[in-house]
This record gives sequence, C-alpha cells and structure tokens, in this order.
Amino acid sequence: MSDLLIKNGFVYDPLNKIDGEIMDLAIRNGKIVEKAEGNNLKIVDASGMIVMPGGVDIHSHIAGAKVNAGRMLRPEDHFKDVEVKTEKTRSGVGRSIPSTFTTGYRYARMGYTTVFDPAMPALKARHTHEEFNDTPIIDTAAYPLLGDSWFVLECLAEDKIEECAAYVAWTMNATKGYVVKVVNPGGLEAWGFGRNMRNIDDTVPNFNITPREIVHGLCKVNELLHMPHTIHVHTNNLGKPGNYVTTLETMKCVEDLARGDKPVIHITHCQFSAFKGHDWRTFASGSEEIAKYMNNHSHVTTDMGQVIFTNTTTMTADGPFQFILYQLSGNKWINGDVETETSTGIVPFTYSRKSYVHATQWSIGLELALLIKDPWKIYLTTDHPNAGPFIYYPRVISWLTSRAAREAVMKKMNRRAREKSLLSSIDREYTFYEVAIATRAGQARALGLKNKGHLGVGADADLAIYNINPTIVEPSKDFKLVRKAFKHAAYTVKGGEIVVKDGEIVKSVDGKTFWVETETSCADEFAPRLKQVFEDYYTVKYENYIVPEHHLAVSCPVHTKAEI
Amino acid sequence: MIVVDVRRTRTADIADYFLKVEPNKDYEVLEALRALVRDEEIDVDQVAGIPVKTLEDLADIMMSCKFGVIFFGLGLTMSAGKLRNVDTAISLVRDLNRYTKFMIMPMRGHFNVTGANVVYSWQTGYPYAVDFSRGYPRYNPGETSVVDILARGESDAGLVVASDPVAHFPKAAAENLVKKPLIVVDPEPTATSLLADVVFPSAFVGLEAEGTAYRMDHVPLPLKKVVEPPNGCLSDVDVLQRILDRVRKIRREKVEAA
Ligand SMILES: [Zn+2]
Repeated sequence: MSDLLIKNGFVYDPLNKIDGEIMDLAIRNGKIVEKAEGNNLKIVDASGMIVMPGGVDIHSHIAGAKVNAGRMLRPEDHFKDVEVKTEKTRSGVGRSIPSTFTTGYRYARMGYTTVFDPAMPALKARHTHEEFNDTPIIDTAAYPLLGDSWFVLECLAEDKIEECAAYVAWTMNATKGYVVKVVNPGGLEAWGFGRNMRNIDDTVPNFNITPREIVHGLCKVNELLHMPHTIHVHTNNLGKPGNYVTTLETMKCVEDLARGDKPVIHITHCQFSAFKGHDWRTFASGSEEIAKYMNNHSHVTTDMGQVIFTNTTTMTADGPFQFILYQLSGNKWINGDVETETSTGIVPFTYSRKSYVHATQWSIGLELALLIKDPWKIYLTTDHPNAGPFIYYPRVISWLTSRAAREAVMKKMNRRAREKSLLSSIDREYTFYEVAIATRAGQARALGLKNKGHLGVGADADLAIYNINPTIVEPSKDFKLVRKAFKHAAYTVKGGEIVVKDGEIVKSVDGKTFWVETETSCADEFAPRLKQVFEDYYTVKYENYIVPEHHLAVSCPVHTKAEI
Repeated sequence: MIVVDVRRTRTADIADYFLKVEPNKDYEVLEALRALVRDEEIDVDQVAGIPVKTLEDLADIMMSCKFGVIFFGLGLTMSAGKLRNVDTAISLVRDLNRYTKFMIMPMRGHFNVTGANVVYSWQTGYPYAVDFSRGYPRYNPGETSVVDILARGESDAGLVVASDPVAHFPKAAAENLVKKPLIVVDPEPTATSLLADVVFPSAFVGLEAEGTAYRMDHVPLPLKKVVEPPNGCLSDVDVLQRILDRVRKIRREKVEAA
C-alpha cells in the first residue's frame, strides 16, 4: 500500500479542535502519520473541498436476524431500488432494508466508514456476524440485547451486581458484542405474556424487579466492566404520547452514578421518547423538557432518530411498541420471541407530511438537535430504518445547517403541526464543525473509539472529502449544494485506501468488527453456573452459543479490565 | 402433544391426542377452531371427519394452556387451500393470544434449507427464486422460481448443490433438468446425482467440514469438523470456489483475447 497525501483541504476535525483550517494529511499503512513519502506517493488534491474523519453511525439496524426477517417480509421494498453489479461491486437491492453489500457501498458513498448495529439477540449473534462478514468497507459492531435476559433479571432482582457483571462480560466475549443494549426494560419479557411496562416502577411479571432497577443495575455493571460506551437505552413507553416523563425518569434514575462529566447513559432515538399529550389527539412535542434536562446534566448522551417523510420499515426488539404500530397502520406485521432473551417486531410504515402526528415527530427530532446546546451530546441518526432509511442523512444535515431548508419542508406539512412546531422560533444553524461532531467526532467519542472520528496522528485513516468550498458556499442558503455534496463524497478513504471517488465505489475492502474482550478474575468459577443455566433455560448448548473469534472476517477486540 | 394428520404417523403414536382429518379439509378444521375460540356455536356434528365435541375439547386445551405452539408442515402448505390454510392458522394463533401465549412455526425439512433462505435474503433481499440475469437480483416466483423455469424448458444447464430435485420436482421439470448438462455437488448419491453428467462428491458438513446451519426457528448453530474427509473430497464451499475461480479465469482470458 503506497503512502497517501491529502493536500490543501479545509479540515474539520473537532476532536483535535481543527475548524476548517487548510491542511495536508499524511497516510501510511492505514494510519494518519506525520509525513508521507516514498517513490509512489499518491496525492489527492482536496483544494476547495471539505475534509472530515469518516462518518460514524452509533445506531443503525443493518444486519442480523431482525433486519433479515424485514428483507423477507418486504420484497416490494426492493423492486424499485436495485444496485447493478459492476467490475468492483456486487449487485443488491436497496431502500429501507438494503442487502448487505448495498449497505456497505451506500454508507461509503456518503463518506461513512463505521456503522454499529444496535440490536443483536445474543442467541443469534452468529447470524449478525455472518452478515457483517458480507458487509463491505464499513467497520461494524453489534450491541447484545441484555435488558430482558432472564439471567440479568434474576441477578438484579437479588441485587447480585457482580454476578450480573460476570454474565454481561461473558456475553460480550461469547457473542462478540460491543455495547450493553437495553430495550423497553422488563417490557419485552412482559410482552411474552401479552403485557407491557406502564412506567419505570412497574413490576416485571414472574420477576420481582422494575425497569428502574434494571437500568440502574446494568449501568453499575457497565461501570464495573469499564465498557467503552455507556449503556444504550431504548426507553419504556417508546412511541406513546406522554412518554417524555418516562424518558426524564430514566435519565434521572442513574444521576447518582454520574462521575464528573463522563456520560453514563445513552438514550437512543430520542425523538420517539419525547412525546407529550394523553393520546394521539392531544399529542405534542416534549423536546423542550428533554433539552432543558440535558442542558443541565452531563451524564446523558442521545441521538436524534430523525423522521423522514417516506415509506420505510420499522423494526425493533420492542414487541409491544411494534404491536401498536401494527394496529395504527394495519400493515403486515412480524412478531417474534427469542427464547429467554428478547422479543422482536417488524411493521412497514409510511411517515406522511400531512399527518399531524408524523409532522410533529419530524419537528421533535430537529427541535432536540437544535435545543440541546452542546453538539457533543446529540448525534445524527434516523434509527435506520425506523424513522427513515440512512440514505436520507444528507437531507438531515441540510435541515441542521439551514433554517431555510427546514422552512421549505414546514411549508408543505400539516398545518396544525407547523403552527405548534418550535422550529419557527429557532434560528440556530449548525456549522460544518458542528456537523462533523454530530456525524462522526461525537459518535466516536461516545463509543470510546480511540482511533475513529478524528484525524490526529495515529488515527485510522478513514476520511471523507466533500466537494464543497466553505469559503464560498453558505450552507444556510445553498442547502441543496450541501445535500448534494454529502450524498456523494468526492472521496472516501477507508484504512488508507481510496474506496470512493466522485460518489462511485472504486475499490471494495473488508471492514473490521469491533467487540469488547473483558477480562474478569471470576470467569473460571462462573462458567459451571452458567453451563447449568444453559441446561435449564436454553435450546442450545453453552458451547454452541459462543461465536469463535475466527468466525469474524476481521476481528478487532477492544480489551478492558473489569473490577470483578 | 396433539397431532393432526390425514394418517396415523409415528409422531401420532407418541402424542397425547391424535385427530385424523379428512384429506384437503385443513381449512375447514382451522376455521371451526377459530369459531370455537371466538365462542361461536357450530351447527354441524362433525367437521372434516372430526366430531365437534372433540374440536371443542381441543379449543379448550389450547385456550387454557400456558404456552402453546402450532407447528405446521408441507401437509398444510401444499394441500388444497395452500396459503389460505396458513393464513387461517396464523389468524387462529392471533385469536388464541387473547387468552394465552401461543405461537406458530413452520417445520422446515431438508437439513439447512432455512440457512439457504437466510443467506439469499441478506445477499439479495429475497429468500429464493433469485434471478441475476439482468445484473441485479430479481424475484418473481412463478417466473424466476426453478420449478417453473425447468417446466418451461428455459434452462441450458443445471448446477444442483445438496438437493435432490429429481426425486421431489414435478416430472416435467425433472425431465427438462436431466435433458441438459447437469452438475451435482452432494455428499451422498441421490436420484439426481445418478442422472448427472458431472458429480462432485463433497464432504459431510458437521462431520468432515465445518460450517453453520440455521435451525428452523432461524437460530444459527455451528457445525464442527470431527474427521478428515476421504482423500480428494472437498467441502461444497471449496468445490464452488474452485469452479468460480475457474470461470473468472476463463472470462478474463476471453476478454484479453478480444
Ligand atoms: Zn433502533
């Protein structure tokens, strides 16, 4: 691999406090280095263009059992959006649930190089990793669903935090997982019997425990294990009017675990959890309350879950929430139960700009991103594909950087929603520096990825070059140019190799899969107890549950040393 | 365990109850059960050869159990009514969930057929009947499904991996398959391999080669290699990879020559 020199670009690298300076970047052996040289030094002229670290996505459902069930459910989603094979790329289908190759290429074309899947049923981990192996270019990781696992519920009900931590550590190692994921804590177990959690102090049927205790317990476990990211929480009551109260209570319930300025909880796709009102008629935005709390506290990070007006596929582990969507839409529906671990639901869905509720949801996502002052606290996502497919990110960027772009949408949307939207009173427009935080630097920092999201010496040479001159283009006015530039990167460099040029894939490389290898001192004494759990509760053997490291095409373990 | 079938099977012998249903009357039985679960009365004495009293008992058992599962197989999907039978069975499960926890699951046969569906879906978006002739995946069962392509006599050659279409496909489709050049990759001799032009005996996965199989509820399971395959016998992955490498080489040479 020859050295690469990116010359004269306007560099946006917020983690190193570089704000649009004209600089050269040197790359050798897949890393950013001080100086590039050699006989066949390759030079990329980035003059008049923006250079950013490769995009990082903290929450996007791109692989695994649930996504694949969505593909099977919706052949009509694929018919009109196909990728024809080329000399460099494999064919596939797209739209809201693209096939694996297409997913990798389309992210790379937008300058994204790291994308993490936030919902892996641990029992089906092998499936998720097999799909990752077939997802080109982007680096990946998966978050095992742990908030409704029987073993976790049993330990936490008896306040056995260390035993719970031993189990979580083992699960990360066994499933090659990266983050402790919690979805509607307790609600998924209750859903197995047609019930749900009404608030965070409801009791989970058959387990003497509440959602509050699950979130607090797993947050403690997460700290004991020194996980790179915080616990990643999809709140109770998600998608229900009035749920902003539950969201605030969830944030508050781990306040006592906050240490300095370090976040301890990530509330994901916050838009879906910031609803006011008693029912769909009185439905309203709760973004002000959420933003106010987040502006006054530093132990929470979040992501938008921005709604896009289009047809998409909703898919979460939140079975009871998906049941509501099924009833609301009358569309086809998959409901699944994953043994002692979690549930799942899939429903096709169309967000319509003429619907009061949908237009208000669109507004809530942007209100949150604009009212939460610190861009390091809220990241750009659409909870792909739940609130919209990831291919619409450039549009979301333009809404963040341009009031005019927001107004263009508002003009055409439901009148009542427009009149009640806070957006007309918000002037804030993101700068390119803030866009770089919301789409890469902030997400990399939240995920504890030391070599991602920045362009300092030693960082992975993942970067995106967008054909836009920040001294000429005014993002506030020229939002269509901004959209165009972020849709098709002029160049995407992954691991030091040019993979995209002028928005087309010129080379396909393998992505890495990150996972957390936790070292505990109790692994040996814990194993026999765990084997018994598998004998009692599972339909697979302990040994068959473990995904061996060689099963990952490119394994990238992140070592941590636990306090247990 | 309750077994419903048109004939007494070995599974029926070990079941708690066996209900013998008249052939092609599954739809009627399922609809009768739905009516009973919804507390409606049935004005006949028997449905599909089963006394209504028995169906009432069955409905009671289903409604009062803690957690029930309906497993169904080809008998339901391929008899008269076809997908409408499955539709009704799903509706019955939905009705039952008003009383208790009930699920439904298709019984897939043929070893790892679920795994094939799973991999096709993530690579192409479609579970089977994928056509690449236009340079991208297309799916239109009836047009792009293998039985129909064979029945219309459209194929020039066949490559069959770990499957026995000659034994299972309609006669016309099987005849057209063997008429054209036919290659089979299979660890065992089959009706299809006996009629093939080229046969690659492959290693047994889970014995002589490792891999993954997807259980019928889509849980992936590792398959181990415990013994070496006979000398020269490759796994199906290796056989296909070598064919692919060769095809690419021939194509490159052709392009270079032109
Ligand atoms: Zn999500």
